[in-house]
Amino acid sequence: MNTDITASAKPEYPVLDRNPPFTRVVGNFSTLDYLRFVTITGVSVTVGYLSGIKPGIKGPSMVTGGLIGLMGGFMYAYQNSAGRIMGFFPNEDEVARYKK
Amino acid sequence: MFNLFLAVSPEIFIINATSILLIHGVVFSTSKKYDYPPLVSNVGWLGLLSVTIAHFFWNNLFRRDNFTYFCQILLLLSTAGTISMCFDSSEQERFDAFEFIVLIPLPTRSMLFMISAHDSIAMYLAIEPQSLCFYVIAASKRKSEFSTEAGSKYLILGAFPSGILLFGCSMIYGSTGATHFDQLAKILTGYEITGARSSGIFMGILFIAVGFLFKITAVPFRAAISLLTLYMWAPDIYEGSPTPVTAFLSIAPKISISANISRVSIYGSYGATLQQIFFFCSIASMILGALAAMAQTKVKRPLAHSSIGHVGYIRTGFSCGTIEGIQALLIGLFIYALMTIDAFAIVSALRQTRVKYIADLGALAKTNPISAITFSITMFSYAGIPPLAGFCSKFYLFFAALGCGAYFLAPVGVVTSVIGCWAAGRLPRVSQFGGPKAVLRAPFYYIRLAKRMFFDTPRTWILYEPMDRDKSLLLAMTSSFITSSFLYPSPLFSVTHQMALSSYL
Repeated sequence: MNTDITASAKPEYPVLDRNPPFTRVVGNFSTLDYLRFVTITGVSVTVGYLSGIKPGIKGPSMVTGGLIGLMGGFMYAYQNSAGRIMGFFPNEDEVARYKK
Repeated sequence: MFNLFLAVSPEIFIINATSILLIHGVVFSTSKKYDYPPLVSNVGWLGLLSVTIAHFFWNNLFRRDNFTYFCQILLLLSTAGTISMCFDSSEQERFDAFEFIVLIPLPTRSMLFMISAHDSIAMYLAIEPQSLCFYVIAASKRKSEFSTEAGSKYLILGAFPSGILLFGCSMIYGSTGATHFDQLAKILTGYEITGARSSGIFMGILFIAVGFLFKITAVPFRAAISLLTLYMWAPDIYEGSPTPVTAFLSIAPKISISANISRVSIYGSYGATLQQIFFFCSIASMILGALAAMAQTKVKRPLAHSSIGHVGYIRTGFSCGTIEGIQALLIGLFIYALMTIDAFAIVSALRQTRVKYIADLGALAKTNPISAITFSITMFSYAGIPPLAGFCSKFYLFFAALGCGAYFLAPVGVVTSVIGCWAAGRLPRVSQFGGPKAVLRAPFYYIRLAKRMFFDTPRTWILYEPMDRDKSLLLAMTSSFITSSFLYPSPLFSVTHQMALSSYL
């Protein structure tokens, strides 16, 4: 199977791993990634809660919003982390850590 | 292998979020514990949240090109605008079905795939789920026979162009053995260099073009069916569907199909014959869109005809086959999306007071002058009156047409815009002057607009309810762009120029 996902877009930064495994990407989450994850989840929970006031389903709506935010936040953080490892985003910290 | 799916993470997120919303809606709308709550606004806000989060996944590096990027972002913004129209309108129209909110992100996901499709099979597989969702949401107002009729018409008349499109793809595959657009481009370039002809390829591209033109409500294809069935299907569907759905149908598929047909045309060795067909359809759409709107008395039908006419203007852009044409197409799509969201947000707000006919707008300027002014600005922008945004889009489209040698198309566009001024001018004039007789004398009232607005007594007095906050915010954003873009259009022009260049590289 051709897993060369850089066929169309070439990485502009040093490539640490062309096809990093799931565990490496999650392990590479930076503080900013966790912040994005938490922010998106928090905003989603809030929107869910507020939109659930009128129909009277605050709790369940908050949970649904939280699920959507959790999934979206995780995917966004994963995309950024994978992008840094694959060389698509600025990755000085990762390069420095790799060189150590 | 997991990283292969990074490129489609927005679509994966939207699918998953839609599934969560559907489960949420089904479980809690039938919950005795919570007293069977109406969930339209709740699911609407969560759907809007999902579409907003999906914006974050965009970065050029995982997209194929900037053209795809621009069209997908525009599509998501249009979807967000449409969902925000749904919050209060469903309550006012006593239309409590959260499912139609869920059915808006679903075709959005298909349209995202469609815009980024570079293979005819992928393109078709993306078109079909989009169409199926449209058939259902057009008929989502189950207690209304108009809505059911709209959905039935859309289903029957939408299956036909899908078949034509697939037949065209199969003919091209049969002649070339390729479905990927890059491979097709190489094969067709070879045919051009050697001067060889293939009737199979030509007929295939023709069928694909016809299928797309039908789906984009191009004249004469909407009229061809009318000769057989005596119906103009697009305005009937737009009128019968709930207003936010009409807005969605007016905007979203135009963006995705225009992007896709541009890509097919660029890769498909754009020939003179195909260009002439596109030019003819553009001219026919502009003429019929302007003329048919003149005879309408209901508020939604002129907007439907206006949508058809505007798609004719926009189609001028990719008919040119030049970078300037693609740039004009993108500018036209962006401004058209904003104007349509603006127009339908106001119509949706007016529908809350059971306003259906143009004559019912007589008291709008007296009781709600801000809405009347906003509606007037939107209609004049549709008509292409400077210095509004609609003028900018038509200016660029006609210049692109003149640049590629379509000297007949530009004057036709200008004339139909002038006719459209008359048709568009009827709506604000009636809102300010009122009454059926005023409609008949509309052309003469156009010049004396200001006098009529302040001194004439409306014939029909309707107490308009205040617009809800969400629509007000949406209108404020779109109207401010429509009125102020003329002062500083450079950002839009430079972005669309870059996007147009990327489609050719």
